[in-house]
Amino acid sequence: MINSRYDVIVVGAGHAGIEAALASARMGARTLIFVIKIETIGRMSCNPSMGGPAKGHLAREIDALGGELARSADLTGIQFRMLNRKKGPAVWAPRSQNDRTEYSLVMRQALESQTNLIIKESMIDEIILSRNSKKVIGVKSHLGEEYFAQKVILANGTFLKGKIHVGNVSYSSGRAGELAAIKLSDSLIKAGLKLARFKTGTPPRVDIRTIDLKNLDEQPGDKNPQGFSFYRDIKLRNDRSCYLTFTNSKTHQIIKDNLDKSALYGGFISGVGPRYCPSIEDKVVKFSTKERHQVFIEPEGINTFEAYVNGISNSLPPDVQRKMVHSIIGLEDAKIMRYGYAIEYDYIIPDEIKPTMESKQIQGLYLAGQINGTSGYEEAGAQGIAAGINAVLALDKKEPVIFDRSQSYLGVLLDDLVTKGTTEPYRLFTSRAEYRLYLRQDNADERLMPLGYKLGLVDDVRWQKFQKVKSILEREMNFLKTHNSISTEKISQPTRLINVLKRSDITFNDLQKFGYKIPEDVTVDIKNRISLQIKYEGYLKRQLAEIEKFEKVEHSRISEKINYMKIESIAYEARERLSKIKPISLGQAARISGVNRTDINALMVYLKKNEILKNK
Amino acid sequence: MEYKGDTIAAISTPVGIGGIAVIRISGENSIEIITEIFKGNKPLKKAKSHSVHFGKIIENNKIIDEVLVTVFKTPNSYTGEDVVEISCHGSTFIANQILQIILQKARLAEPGEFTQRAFFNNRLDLTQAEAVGDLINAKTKKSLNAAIQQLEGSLYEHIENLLEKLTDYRTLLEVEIDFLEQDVPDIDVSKLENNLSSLKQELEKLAETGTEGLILRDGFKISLVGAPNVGKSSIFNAFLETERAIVTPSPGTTRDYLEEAISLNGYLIRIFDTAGIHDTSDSVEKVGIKRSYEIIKNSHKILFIIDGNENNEEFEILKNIVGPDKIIKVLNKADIFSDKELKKFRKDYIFCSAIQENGLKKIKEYLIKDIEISEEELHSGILSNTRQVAAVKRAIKSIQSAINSLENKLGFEFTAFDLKEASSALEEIIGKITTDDILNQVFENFCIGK
Repeated sequence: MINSRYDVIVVGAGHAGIEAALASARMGARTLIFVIKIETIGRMSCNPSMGGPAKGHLAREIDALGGELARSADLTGIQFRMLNRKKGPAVWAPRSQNDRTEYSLVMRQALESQTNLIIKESMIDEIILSRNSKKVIGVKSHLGEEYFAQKVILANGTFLKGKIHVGNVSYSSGRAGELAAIKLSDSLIKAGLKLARFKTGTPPRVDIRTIDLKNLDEQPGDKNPQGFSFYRDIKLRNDRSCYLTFTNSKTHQIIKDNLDKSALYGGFISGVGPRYCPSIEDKVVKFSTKERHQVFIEPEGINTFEAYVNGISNSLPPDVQRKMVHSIIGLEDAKIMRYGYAIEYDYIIPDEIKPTMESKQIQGLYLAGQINGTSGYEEAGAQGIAAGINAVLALDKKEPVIFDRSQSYLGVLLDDLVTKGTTEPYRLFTSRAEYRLYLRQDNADERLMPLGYKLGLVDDVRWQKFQKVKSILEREMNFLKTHNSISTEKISQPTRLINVLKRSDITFNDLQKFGYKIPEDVTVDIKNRISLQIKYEGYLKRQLAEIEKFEKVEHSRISEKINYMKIESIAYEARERLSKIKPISLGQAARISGVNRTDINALMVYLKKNEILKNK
Repeated sequence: MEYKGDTIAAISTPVGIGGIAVIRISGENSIEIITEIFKGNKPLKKAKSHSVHFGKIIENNKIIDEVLVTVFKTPNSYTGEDVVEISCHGSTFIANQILQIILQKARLAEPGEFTQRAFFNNRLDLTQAEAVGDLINAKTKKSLNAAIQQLEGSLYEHIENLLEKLTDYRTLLEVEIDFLEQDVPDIDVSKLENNLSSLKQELEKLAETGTEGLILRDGFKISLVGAPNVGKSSIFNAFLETERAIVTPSPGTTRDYLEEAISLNGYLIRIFDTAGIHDTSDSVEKVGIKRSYEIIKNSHKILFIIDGNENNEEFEILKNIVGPDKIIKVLNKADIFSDKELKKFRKDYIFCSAIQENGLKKIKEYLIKDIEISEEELHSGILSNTRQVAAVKRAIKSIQSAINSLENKLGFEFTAFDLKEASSALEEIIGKITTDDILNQVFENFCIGK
């Protein structure tokens, strides 16, 4: 029985699903979002924190595009820090601690107050395909109801056949205490998608009142906190600290003595875990010479005493977890409120998707978030917004938005996924970005807000504020370029202010001593942006030259329809890879592993011969 | 066979050197084309791969030359296609005549086209491809050695070594940027600076081999300069041990210039006999003198020749063009002077006598000392073309910039940027791109993660 018709259906209301649904509804599509349990909308399932290197960048990019994640993080933050502030101006990275419960609530409110968007609590068991199985037409719930839409975005997170492990106990679950989506996996396999299994884990959480905090290093927030969002004027709450302690030889001995009881080492888990987020069992075994490992105590929120013990994610049985926790300085009497666990889940091997997030096999089906083998809230949110945007553009028969590596971390993430795939839960790092000096957190608005505004995702109020900042930037830059300093002891000849600022020992505020009166509308943020532009001009120019070169190849678009297997001048292995990935540009083709330069040369010769190469 | 092209042909030995010229034909129809013009004991069509056949090239029932023909069959040939090589007698005239016959059925190969085909058919990696290009052009024994060495990959290995070091340093920086909250050791900046400096020195050494590599490939150029009638042409001829330049008693006969190549201890030497650089009012001669200037500027060494009358005016002109270091002062006709007369030249001049047997011995010894490349250098790989030299120089520049960024405390992301640039430059030489190495290194060597 036909229940209802929608334009876009989103399955899952985690970080990916939320952004997908909001983008879709805001772009005017009638959107339906499914969630297994409404109270879990926007749940932070790992640590109650947002941002850090590359992830903070992503959060700001999502915001510039008109997404929700950064706004919620700012509204529910309890501590804000700018990482790398002392080290490198081009890799400053905002990070926050958040109130887990509030975050969820704020997201629920955002969904509920969005026009064009309907929320429904239901588990989706099946995707419904067209008769020839080449197109998705809807989904079917566990209650047997059918919902139809031209576009379906799957954002199931770790819920696909999720299985939790604690010691030798294991049970089916999506997140701790929540139902897993069992049947959907089979429906996807039936549709021809290829699934594989990853695992990840969480640490135990304790009652912070039972921790002896006075012996631990306190990490307070920044004096002048900066959040993630642009032009929203959110007043940041910044009054909670984290605490640092360490494991010790006793802790390590307890773990070694009980390795056989760990789900991971006892052989109960088959999925592949992330190298950058190893369990404490892994850390102790693989880096056995290290005498101690960091443990961060992160408060879970304002209205709770629960604290997240970051650094000891594990799948040990409860009694061993207790012993291990109690061996750590400050945690001798800590009361565990929730035990840590490992979770295994199905993901779809991401060579299934195009850079638009759409499935290559099934038209109208989009995949976003952890289902594509990524990890992290920001990575999920970024994919969600990209999927939402492109689903609606496709609905309207408009050109898709392709995020490229030179313009955003979002582009790096999507390109890595669809071009290289991933052999472990994928996380973004700044080192994955070739154009890191340009892809900064400070200029995410300049890079992406025009696109967000064009798509109708950024409202006029924010757009006007952005325009204002841009004009101030331009005005002051111009002033510094055209006005001389007064002569001082340091600089005897009048010199252009811009050249004064170039000196490494002179800060923006120092310019006041050289006759520059800083106008009142020049904020700290604007000062930082101008300083960076001027002081690192040489590097930024070199970076831009590289970007120009990159874009030439990147914009050499190639057709999806090329039959690579017939191009005999390309090595066989490379032909297979190219057929699978179906690159959209010569640049992407060159990044595929197993495709080398000779293959690209041969491809170029072939394309030229057949004139399939369209230079955009 | 992977890459299919039409049939191409070219003379693949340099013109005018050696007793044998080789014409190479590659492509689907190569064997058929040669079968039609070659008369040997057996029909060429049935020849096995890698077989050599003696016979005659015939056109219109006329014998053009007696030749050796070598057949290589696809895919086991240099280009991966069917290849035939014809070795004929070394005269340019004969080789060209044979080529013209072949070109009725085939197309003249563009420069580097054989190598390109080899490249497209996965017969070679990029460095090897270039070395083969050099191998084809190898004009003398030493040059051949350098080319073979490179083929064996010593340059490849050397560059990979340097890249490994760069990767290590870049890993340190990336850990500091991406995993700052982790319990990882701080970067020892002064140690890193030192490491980068010594890496830079290694690259500079490598870049210097580029000059030598180019000399190996293109030859060591020397020009003969001197007043008319001091015996430049006689020396030129004595070098060649033949009589190619015209020697006349009237000054200024060598109007433009003459060029010949010789092999000296296995090194290719190109000798230019110039029109001289003296003042003249003759307009034709003026053109010749202008050209002399260019040749002199491009020479590695200049033999400045006198015959007993010190020619200070011209020496000064020459010094102004090339500087004093490139000039070797030579006293010709040393045989006609008495010991006492020679005394005043002894300090500054090398003595020679174009007409005596072994009269050039001293000059030759001097030149060899100047050119010689050590075996060690040959083994550690040398750069042998301008593209490679340019890439190494770019890497050096980037590393210097990295050192500066550390000194000025700009932030590690800028140092990382410089070093990435250096890596890309070196990767270009070996035609290989390494992408995920850095993160893999991070995870292997550091306990990362909360």
